[in-house]
Amino acid sequence: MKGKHWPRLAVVLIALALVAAACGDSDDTTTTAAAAAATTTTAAATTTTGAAAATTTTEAMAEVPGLVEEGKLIVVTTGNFPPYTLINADTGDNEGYSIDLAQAVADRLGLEAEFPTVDFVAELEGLAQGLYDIADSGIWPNQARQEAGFVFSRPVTSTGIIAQVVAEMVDSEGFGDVTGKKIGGIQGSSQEKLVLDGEAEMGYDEYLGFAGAAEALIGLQQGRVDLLVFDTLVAGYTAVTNDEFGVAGPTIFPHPLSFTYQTGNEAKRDAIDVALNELLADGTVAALQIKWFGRCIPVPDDINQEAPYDTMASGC
Amino acid sequence: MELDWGVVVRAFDLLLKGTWLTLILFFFSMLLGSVLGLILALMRMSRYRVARWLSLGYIWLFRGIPVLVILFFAFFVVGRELGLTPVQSGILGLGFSAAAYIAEIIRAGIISVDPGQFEASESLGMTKRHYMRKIIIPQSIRVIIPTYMSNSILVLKVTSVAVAIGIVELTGITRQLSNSTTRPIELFTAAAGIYVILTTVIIVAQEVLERRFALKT
Repeated sequence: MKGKHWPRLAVVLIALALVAAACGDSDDTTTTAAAAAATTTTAAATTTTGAAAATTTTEAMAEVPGLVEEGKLIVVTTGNFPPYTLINADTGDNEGYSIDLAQAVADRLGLEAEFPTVDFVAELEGLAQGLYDIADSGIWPNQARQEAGFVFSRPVTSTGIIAQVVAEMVDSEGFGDVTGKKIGGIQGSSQEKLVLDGEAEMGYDEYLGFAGAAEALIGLQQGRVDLLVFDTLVAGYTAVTNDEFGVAGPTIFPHPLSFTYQTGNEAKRDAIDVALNELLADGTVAALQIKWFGRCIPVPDDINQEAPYDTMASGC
Repeated sequence: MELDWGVVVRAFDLLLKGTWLTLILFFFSMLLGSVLGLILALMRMSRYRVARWLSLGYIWLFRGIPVLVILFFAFFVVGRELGLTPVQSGILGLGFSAAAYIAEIIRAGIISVDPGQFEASESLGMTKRHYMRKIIIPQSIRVIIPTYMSNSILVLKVTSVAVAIGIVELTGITRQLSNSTTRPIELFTAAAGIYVILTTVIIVAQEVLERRFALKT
C-alpha cells in the first residue's frame, strides 16, 4: 500500500471504530421498556381520583414539557442501589422500586421509559447537562441539593439511616452508640456527609469511605469497619437477601426520597407529579412498596416536611 | 465467611456480556490509540517545529490527565456536542489517552535504532519513507513490542473506569450484580479470573510477536 493512503485509512478506521461501537450500545447500557399502546389508551381514560391531584393524566400527557426526547421518559439510575435500582442476576434487567415507579409514571403518561445506568456522580452531572429527564436512585432531596438548584418531585417514599452490621452484631446499639467504633459508608453519599459532619457529637473512632455498597459490604464482612452507615431500606434489603448481614439500632434522620430533575424543570416536575399523585391514590405505590420493601412505608406530603411522617399511600 | 459460588453460575451470561463490552472498548480504543499514536510519534520526530510542538503538547496534556477525567470530558463535553453514545465516548476517551503513551512507545523504538543506520540508508540514496519501512521500523518493532503489549494490558484494565460514564463493562456489571446479590467476593473473584484470561491472551500474543520479529541467528 502506498504511503499516501495512510491518512485516509486512519480516518476510515476511526470512523469504523466509532460506528461499530454504536452497534448494541443501547442494549448494553440501557434497559428499555416500551410503553404499550393499550396503556396509553387506559391512561387517556383515567381521571384523577386522589385528592392531591388537580388535573387528569390526559391533560398531563399533553403538558409534559421539556422532555429530552419526544415521547420518551429517560430515567437514569445507578443500577447499584437495591431495592431502589438493581440488576437482576438472572435476566440482567434493571429492576427495583424506582424503576417500577418510573415505569408506571411513563405508562400513565403514554411515554416510553428508558433506564440508562451510570455512576452516581455522572448521574447528577448528566442530569445537569440535560441528558436525562429524571435521576432516581433513592435520592434524598436535602437542603444542599435543593440549594444546588436541583428540582425535586413530590416525595415517592421515605427512608432513614440505620447501621448495617454483620449478623452476629444485630443486637448491638447501632447508631444508638458508636463511641470508639469504626464506621464505613459510601463515598459521596448523603449518609457519609451526615456522619462526617457529626463526628464531634457521635464520638466514633474512624470513618472509612468505600467506592460503593459492594465494596463497603466486603469491608464490613472482613472487619475493616464495625458498622456501615446505610439507607434503612437498602440495609434491610441486604439483610433479607444475605443472612451474613443484619441491621442494628434505631433508624435516624428519617427523610423523604424524590425524583430529581435538572434546574428549571419545574413544569416537567409538575406534570409528572400529577401522575405520581394518581399512582399514590390508586394503590399502585402501595403495591410497589409491598413488592420491594415488604411493607408499607409512609410517603411525606412535601420534601421539606419534618418527621415523623404519617401519610400512607392509598391501599396500605 | 461462607462463599456461594452459585451466584457466579447464575450471573455467568451477564458477566460474559460485560466481558464482550470490555473487549469492544479495548479493541477499538487500541485501534484509535495506535493510529493516532503513530501519527503523533512521526510528528514528534518531524523536521517541522510546529508538528513537533503540537505532538509534544498533546502527549504532555493527555499523559497529565487521569483517564477518568478524560472520559468525563469525552462524554459530557465532546460526546454531548457530537451526540456520541456512551460507548463511542468511551472509545474516544480511552483511545486519545492511549495514543499519548503509544506515541512515546513508538518513538522510543525508532530512536533506539543506531543513528548510523539512518546515515547509511541516506548515503545509499534511499528516501526517508523507503528506509523507514525497510530498515528502521523492522528493527524498532523488536523494542516496541514488549512495551506496546504491556501498555495494551493497562488499557484493557483501565476500561473498567468506563463504568463511570454508563458503560456497563465487566467491572461495571460485577459491581451492579454484587449489590443486587450481596455477594461481592464471589463475583469480583470471577471478574478477576476473566481479566487474567484476557491478559493471558495478550501475553501469549506478545510471545508470538517477539518470536516472529526476533533476530535470526
